[in-house]
Amino acid sequence: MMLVKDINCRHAVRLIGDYLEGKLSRRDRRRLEHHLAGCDACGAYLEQMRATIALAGQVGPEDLSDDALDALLDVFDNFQRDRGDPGEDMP
Amino acid sequence: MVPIFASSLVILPFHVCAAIIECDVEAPATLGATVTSASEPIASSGETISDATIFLENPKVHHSCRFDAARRCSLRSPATDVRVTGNICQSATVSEVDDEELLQRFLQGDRDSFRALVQRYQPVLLQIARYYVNSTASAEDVAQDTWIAVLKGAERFEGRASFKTWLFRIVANRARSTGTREKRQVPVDTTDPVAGDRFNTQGMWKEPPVVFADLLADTESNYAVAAAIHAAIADLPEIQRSVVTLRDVEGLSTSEVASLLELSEANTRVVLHRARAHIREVVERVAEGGRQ
Repeated sequence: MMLVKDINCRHAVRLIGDYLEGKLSRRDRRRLEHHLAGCDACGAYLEQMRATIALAGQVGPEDLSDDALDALLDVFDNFQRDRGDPGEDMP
Repeated sequence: MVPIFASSLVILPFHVCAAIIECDVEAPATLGATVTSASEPIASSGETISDATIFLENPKVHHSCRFDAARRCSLRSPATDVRVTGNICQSATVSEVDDEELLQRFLQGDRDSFRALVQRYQPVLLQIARYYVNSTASAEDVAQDTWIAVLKGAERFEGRASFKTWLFRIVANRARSTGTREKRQVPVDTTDPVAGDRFNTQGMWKEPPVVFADLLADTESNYAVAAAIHAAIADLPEIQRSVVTLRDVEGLSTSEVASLLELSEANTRVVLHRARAHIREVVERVAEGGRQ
């Protein structure tokens, strides 16, 4: 069995970014997972990052001001009017 | 904050996408918020609902919200300080109106469907545009031109990519060709995603990070967390805000994000981790505050 070189928490935290994106090299992944197996604190950090990602996915878009919305609905109304009467200017 | 309604009805806006959710509405007493109940609730079989718009009659505000796995939602209007938390109280699940369906409907002239897409996507269009152009006014012009392009091109939309992907490509292309900003240089980031003083000289945590699980389960703190996350994202440098919005809020893949923002995938990941670490830190502060 290959010996896995141990890393410290600070190093583990650096690796977690690419780990979450599935982009760690095999070697780094082994080192990180070996560390995580024995370190509750880094396990908690990983859980925090996963929760953060999930929470960010739930926040929804910002509110739009009424003015901004109205301006874009005007764009829609104008488009509909132009489309609705294509022959208006025709003889 | 004075609770006004112990239990009010809030109805989702689209006929096929309606379910009653039970809400607790809190608002400053002076606002006298009332909640509309618009259309008849119709529940049809399908997936669990994940998005909804909540309409408040007075003050007139619309909110988009998403329901978590526990079928709760929590949101707040920064403008009016009206706060809504809700649970879906009907056991029926409803079918969600997806973007492509909304597109088909506004092609038939349905203004509400267009409005729903605008409310859903205008903020992120502005974000993408702002990444490429150097003023908010230019970004607004680019976003408006994008909607015009959508209206003109919607009939030719073939559905090979999702509506969202199509929309984001239009805005990115337009913003890029407006191109008022110099090409961004992604700084080489050598700092740690977590502040160095959290570790001892051996590089071990001095205090282990708090677990967020309780925070996720608690609707009360969800409200604080959602507000904190909004603020944390708004506070990020432009490039981080764009990356994390597209990746985590909009759910695009890293390669799609890289392509829209003209970054390498490796740089995108570095920027992403930095942004997530910042948001994590903010959420951690909320979590720790809740414990005290």
